[in-house]
Amino acid sequence: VDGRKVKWIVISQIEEWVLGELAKQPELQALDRGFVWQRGEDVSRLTFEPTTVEPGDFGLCVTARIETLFGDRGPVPGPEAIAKLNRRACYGAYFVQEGQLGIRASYCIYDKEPAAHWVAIALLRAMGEQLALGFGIVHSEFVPESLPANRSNLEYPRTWSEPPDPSIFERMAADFTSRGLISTRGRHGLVLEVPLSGDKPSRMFDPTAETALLHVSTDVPHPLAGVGYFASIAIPFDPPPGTTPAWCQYLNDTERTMRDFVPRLGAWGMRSLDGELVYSMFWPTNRAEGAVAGTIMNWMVQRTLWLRERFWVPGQGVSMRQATNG
Amino acid sequence: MAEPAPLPKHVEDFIATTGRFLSQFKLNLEFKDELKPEGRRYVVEAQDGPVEIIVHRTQRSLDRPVGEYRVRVWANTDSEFCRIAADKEDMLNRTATFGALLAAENAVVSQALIPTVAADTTAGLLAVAIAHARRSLVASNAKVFSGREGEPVEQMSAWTDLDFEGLHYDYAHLGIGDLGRWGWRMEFLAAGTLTINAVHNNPYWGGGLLCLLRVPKKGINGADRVSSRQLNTWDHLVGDAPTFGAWLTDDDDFVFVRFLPNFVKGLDSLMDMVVSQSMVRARELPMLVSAALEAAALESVGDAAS
Repeated sequence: VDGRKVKWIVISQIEEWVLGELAKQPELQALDRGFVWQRGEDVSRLTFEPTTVEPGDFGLCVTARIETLFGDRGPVPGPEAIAKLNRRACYGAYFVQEGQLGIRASYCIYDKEPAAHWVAIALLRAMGEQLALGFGIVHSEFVPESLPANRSNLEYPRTWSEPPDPSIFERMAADFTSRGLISTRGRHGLVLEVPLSGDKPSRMFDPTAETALLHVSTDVPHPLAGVGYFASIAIPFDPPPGTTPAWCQYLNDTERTMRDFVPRLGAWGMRSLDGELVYSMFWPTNRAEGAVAGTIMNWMVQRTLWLRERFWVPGQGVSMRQATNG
Repeated sequence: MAEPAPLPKHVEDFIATTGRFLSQFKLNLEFKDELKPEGRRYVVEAQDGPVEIIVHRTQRSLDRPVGEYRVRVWANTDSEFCRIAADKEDMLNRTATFGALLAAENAVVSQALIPTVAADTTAGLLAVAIAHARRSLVASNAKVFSGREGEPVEQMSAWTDLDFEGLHYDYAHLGIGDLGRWGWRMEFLAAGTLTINAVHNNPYWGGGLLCLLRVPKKGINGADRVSSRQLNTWDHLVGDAPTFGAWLTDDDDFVFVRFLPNFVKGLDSLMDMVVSQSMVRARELPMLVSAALEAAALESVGDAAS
C-alpha cells in the first residue's frame, strides 16, 4: 500500500486449482505465479497477474493470461491475413509480435466467481490446446487442402454427447426481452439485438435500425474444433474500405489492456469479401452446461456496450476519433 | 485497327484476365470498336454464335473522380427460340446458370461491375458466362422439354459437407443459418433467404452448386406489379451484383437462381463472393422494383401521348 494504490494479492481458488494441476505436469516449468510449456520452438505460457483495479462487487483479484508463440514455420502473415485468420480463432486472438505469430487469451478472475470450476477448466484447456488447435487453424487457413487432415488429427468431437436443452434459449430470450432487448430464439441458439444508436430496436423490422446483432449458437460447429458454443457480434456498418484489419488489431489490443473486462477467449476478425468487422468466439465442447450459453451472451452484451461507449459514432460506425475522445 | 484509348489499369487487367480464361474455352476476345465516353465493344465467336461484350464507365460515376466500370454480355438467341420463350421466361430461366433470358430482346444477358477485390474470380465467371450462358440455358431447356432431364448422373458435385460447414461458421453472424446435408441456408434478417446446395443433376453441367436467393414480395412496395422479365432487364442495366443467373417469380417470392459448375470451384474466394453478392442483391431488390415501376409508368405515359 503506497497511500493511493492498493495492490490486491488475494489468491483465488481458481488460481490455486490451476497452478496445482499444472504443477503435476513434469514437462512444464514453473514461473512466478504461472507455468511455461516449451515444445520445440513453440512455447505456451499461463500466468496470473495481479491487478491494481478496485475489486468491486465481485472481487476482481487477478488476470489469467494464456499465450502461445509459434516457432518459425515460414513467412509471418500480414495484418489482413491475421484479421481473416481471427474469424476462426479459438482460445484467444492471433497476433504478430516481433515477427512471430502467436495467440493469446486472458480472463479476469473474481473472488466471487460463481462458476469457478468451469473457469479453472477453461484456463487449463486454453493452456493445453492453444498450440495444437491454434496451429491447426493457421495451417488450414493458409493451406486449405490440409483442413481435412488437421481436423482428423485434432479429433475434436463432432456430435454432442450431452446436447444442449433447447428450453435454455427460451429462458434466455425471455430474460433478455425483459431487459428491453429484441431477441429471437431458435432451437439451437439465440439472436439478440443491442441498439448502438437511434430508437429503432430491430433490424428484423427495419433494415436501417442501428443495432448490433449478437449470436450464441450450439449448432455452428467449428471447421476444426468440432461442436461447441459459437458466439458473435456483428455491427451494422463496416469500417471504411481497407481499414478493417487495422480495426481488428486495435480492438484486440485495446481489449487486452482493459483491467476489468469480460473474458478474452475470441477475437475481432474480418469476415466476407466486404471486410466485415465481427467479433467471434468458439468454445469447443460436446457436453452442454446449463448456464454457459447465457453467460457467453452476457459477455457479448458487455463487449457490445463497451464498443458503443468507446468507439461508436451514430450513423457512421466505429471511429478512432470517438476512441481518442473517449 | 487503331489502339483504343487506355482504361484504368484494373479494368485493363480485368479484360486481359477474362481473355486468358476465355482461351481455356478456345475462344478469343476480339476488340471491335471504342464507345463514347469511355468504353469498348468486343466480340467473341462462341461455338453457338457470336457474343457481344461491352465494357463501359457507369453513368453514375461519370462525374466522380474515380470511375466505376461495368462489363455487359449480350448473346443473341435464335428468334424461333425466343418466340417460343415469350411469356415463359419464368419457366425457362429456372435453368439459368450464368445469365438471364430476355425473350423480348432475343438474348441471354449477363453483367458485372468490374471489381477491385477478387477481380480474377469475376473475370473467370465472366468468361464462363460468355462461353456458356446462352448455350447452357438453351441446351438445358431442350433437355427438360424433351424429357431427357433424368439421364444418368455422370458427375457428383465437387462441393462437400466440409465446404458448407466452413460457410456456416464464417457467415453465422449474418442471420439465422441452417447447416444441412450437402447444403446450407441463411436467412438474412428482413432481406430474404439464401440456399446453397451441392447438386449433381444440372441438365447442362451435371455436378455443381445451385444457389437460390429467395426474397418475399411482401414488404417491397409495388413488387406485385413487377415481372421477373422487368427485374432481369433492370438487373442487367443497373445491378450492383453480377447478373450471373436470373430472377424468376415463384408464387409470393422473387427467386434469383444461379448455378456454379464444378470446374469453377477453385476460383479464389468464390463462396465468399456468392454470399456477399446475394446480400447485395437482396438489399438492392427494392431499388430494382422501383426502377421497373418508374420505367413502366413512363412507358405508359409515352404510349398515351403517341
